[in-house]
Amino acid sequence: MMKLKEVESLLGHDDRIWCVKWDPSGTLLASCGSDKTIRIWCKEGNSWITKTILTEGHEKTIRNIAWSPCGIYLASVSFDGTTVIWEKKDDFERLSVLEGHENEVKGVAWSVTGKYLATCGRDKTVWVWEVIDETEYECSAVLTNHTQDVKNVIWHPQEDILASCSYDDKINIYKEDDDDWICSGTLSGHLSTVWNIEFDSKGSRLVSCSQDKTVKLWRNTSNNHNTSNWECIHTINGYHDRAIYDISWCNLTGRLATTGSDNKINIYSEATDKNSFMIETSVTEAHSQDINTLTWNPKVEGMLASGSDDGIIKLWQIHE
Amino acid sequence: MRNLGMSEGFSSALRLTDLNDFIHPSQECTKPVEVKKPKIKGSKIKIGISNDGLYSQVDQDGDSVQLKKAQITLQDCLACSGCITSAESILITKQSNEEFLNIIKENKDKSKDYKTTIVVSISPQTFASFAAKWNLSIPEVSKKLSTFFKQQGIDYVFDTTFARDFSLYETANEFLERFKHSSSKNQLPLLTSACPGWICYAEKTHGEYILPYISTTKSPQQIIGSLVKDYLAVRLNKPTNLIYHLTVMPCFDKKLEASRDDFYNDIYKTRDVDCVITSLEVDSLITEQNVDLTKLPDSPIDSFDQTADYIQYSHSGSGSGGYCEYVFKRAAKELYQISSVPLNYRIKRNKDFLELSLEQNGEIVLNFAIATGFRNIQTIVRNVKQGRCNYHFVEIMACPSGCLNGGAQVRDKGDKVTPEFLKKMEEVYHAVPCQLPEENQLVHQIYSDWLEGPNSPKAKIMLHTQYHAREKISNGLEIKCKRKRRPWLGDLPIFKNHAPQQREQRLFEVKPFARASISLVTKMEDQRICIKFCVKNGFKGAEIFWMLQTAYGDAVMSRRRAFKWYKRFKEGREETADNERSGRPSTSTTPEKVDKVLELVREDRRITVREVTEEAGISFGSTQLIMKDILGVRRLNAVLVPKDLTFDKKNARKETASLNLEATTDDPELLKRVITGDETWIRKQPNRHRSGVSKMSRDQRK
Repeated sequence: MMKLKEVESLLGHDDRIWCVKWDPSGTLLASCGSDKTIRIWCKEGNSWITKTILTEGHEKTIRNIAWSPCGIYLASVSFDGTTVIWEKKDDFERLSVLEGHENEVKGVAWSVTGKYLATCGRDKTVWVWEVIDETEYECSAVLTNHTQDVKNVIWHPQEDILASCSYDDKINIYKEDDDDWICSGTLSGHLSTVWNIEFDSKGSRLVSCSQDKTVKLWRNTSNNHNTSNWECIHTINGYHDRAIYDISWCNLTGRLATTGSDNKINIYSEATDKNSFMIETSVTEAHSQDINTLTWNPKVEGMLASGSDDGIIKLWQIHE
Repeated sequence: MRNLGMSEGFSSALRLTDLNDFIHPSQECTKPVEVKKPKIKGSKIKIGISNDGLYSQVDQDGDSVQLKKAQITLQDCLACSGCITSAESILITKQSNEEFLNIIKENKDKSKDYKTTIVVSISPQTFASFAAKWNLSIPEVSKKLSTFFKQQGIDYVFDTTFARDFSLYETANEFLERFKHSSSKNQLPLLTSACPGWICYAEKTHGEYILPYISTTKSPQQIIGSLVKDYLAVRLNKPTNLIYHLTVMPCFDKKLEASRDDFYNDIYKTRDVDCVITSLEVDSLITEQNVDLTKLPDSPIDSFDQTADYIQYSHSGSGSGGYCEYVFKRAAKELYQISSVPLNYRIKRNKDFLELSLEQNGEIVLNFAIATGFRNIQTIVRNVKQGRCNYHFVEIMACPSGCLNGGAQVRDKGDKVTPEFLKKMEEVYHAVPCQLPEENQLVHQIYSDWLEGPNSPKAKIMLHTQYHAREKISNGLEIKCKRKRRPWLGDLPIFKNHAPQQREQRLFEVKPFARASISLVTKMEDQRICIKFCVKNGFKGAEIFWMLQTAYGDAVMSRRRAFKWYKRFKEGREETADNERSGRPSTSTTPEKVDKVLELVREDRRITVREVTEEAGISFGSTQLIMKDILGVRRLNAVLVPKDLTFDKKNARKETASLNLEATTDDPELLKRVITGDETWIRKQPNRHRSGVSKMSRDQRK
């Protein structure tokens, strides 16, 4: 019987935690939250400690962060409407500030090549920035296909294809067309806000989690990544009592983890036909308040980090 | 109200700023009307309505002081970055086909001396749009359109190309002047000013950082406005208010431009351009009247020169007016004495970003660009702000590909202008013979007759304008989070637009409110902890409540609540924070109840959620849920509105009501989208009653 066990609680943030992200090597964990700071955690000896605290970057809550695929850059977005790019040297250095969003920025992601950065926010737009050089970013598109607050953006794991999810209950897929970006597909099916989405490692499937307490599995039925013909092939229902805020798909084990405002973390395993998921284990009261974020370690099998409104980050490990 | 969907026609720069959100004015509508509060002794104050219908503030001793009415006009709204665009939507509904047809109708019945002269000025991009649609050339289609308008009862039809002569000439003058002083601050790059979508975006979001770089030259629309309301008025010997000036433009943004305060004449209470309609609206007018343009007889476009006929001409370069190309030519000629400079446009990054430069001895001496579309505006703005924009001049237009692709051009298929159609427009547009502004004798003549020569003070007034940074207003509750400005953000426009004392003032106004709500929560939790402590020590419920009363005085929790918590702790509860409310199965959102709520809302559009709750017998939360999620009705604004209706107003209201009734029968969906009308522009003490803020759902916050 597989079990999810708490390894360690990381204390440090003064306010709710909005996002935790592992760097590509799986050795550093970045976290951000309402205390307007970013903390970088690493393991020393047997325990995890705060290596650096990045302050002076944002005026308001930091909602989301993303490591570049090379692991050198960290992008953070905030309710103050700005995106800040940090560079990891000996210490972290602030490289640029990207302005453009009208108000709260809520999602950020780097494309797999590191050539593009996407951000989204309450102004209902998704912005694609082209990385010209390390300090120079140019806006290459402002996509206004959503009719409401855009909650998050993610990139395809292999191609320059972008996906976003929104308060308008929809997921949009974008691709580059000539020298502009266009919306190549809309996935509707959720009955309420889609909080987060994630591609599998090949990019032919997508999972989404929503306020409607369900997780949906989508598959691109066309063979080519560039044409999008997505359909919902499975819905996971009944394992969360309240909104599901975050979902993470483990590249190493194929497991899915979900969490949300019912303070629960659920782990699902993939069925052999790859068309559905089955619940494996569930941790109730994993945190004392809403859990906003969780993410699998990309290198250590079965290691999970979660962050909550209670201001605590927890590390979990799967024991078979 | 029929223009709900109109916002779609705005350029993306404007749409981004909340424009298609008509029913939902921004929560940030906090136009800081300075309310001078009369000093009142004591802490308990009531606000009442006196016999004359005015609001007054009554203190403990019964002394009453009349409160001043805080008024927000549409112009105030235009000066704000909060709900601005919703207000603009309302403002521009005044600029429609119906409006100008009404003017024509009224005018017919007037006696000769009081007749209004009606003038129409049509943009060359509009001509291109119609020429492409009807497979005609621009000179041909202009004569047909001229006939069409004259048949409606219009006196003069002009082409704004003529006004563009002035606009180009003045822009080039301004560039040459700035180029001479290019070593001093804020001179270059010079950014063009013809696109109102771009101007509006720059004013609202980039304020002081970008505005100094924008050319002060008026757009062709506003120059023709001056020509008609000043030059023509004098020539016709008519007071300005007896000339009605209509323009036909390729985009909706132009309506906003015409409504700017800078183009309003206080004495005659008239605007330089009274009404702007778009190519699209003229097209629907033609369709409504079943007119075949090709079958209409020809009548010439009018000329400002009485002695000669108007011959159609154009300006070389982009379809937005060729600003970049003309200024480039003038600069090459006057600065480097090159009379026919090669024009090698290079595509940079994307097809909507073109570069044009002049090299001398291996060095780039003139570096110009055309940037169209919102993403390229971003690039320019970013570079200018960071002081690394190496262009001398940038022609900026909000629509990708410029004005020919304006948001309100005639569509060939469905609701979009296809690339093929755009190409066709470009072809007909560029087929018109080109001419430089200085080659036009009439321009010289008008400069000397009307403007007392170039660079005269009158030319300055008639051909130039100014811009105003819109103060960015942040949500009051968030102000408390803002700390002192960090040094490295010094060059970013976060606080710079605020005058310091204003900021302080707002800070002061908001803080007590925010603090109060926080302390309330903590106090409640404090009390629960006390209860828990006492329970563990074996005190009785009543004793505990008595102790709480002694300790907390007025702020004590209710007796019932105290006992509830007593019971909980007695039963072994440890947690003192509120329970997370579990999701109860929905029992209230049955179709019957939804119908009931809808019926109630339909009956009284000013009904409050609480009233619905009582009437329908549903819980408060469910009512909110039904209204927000299922019916999608939202509060437009929740403020008391004083109604002092005069007889005239009542009549006007009756009329509006019957019009609305008609509108509702035409469009049964209309009522679903609208809750309340425009009276809410008058509100009291907006800072205190911004109830929208606290009601923001958790979902919206995340």
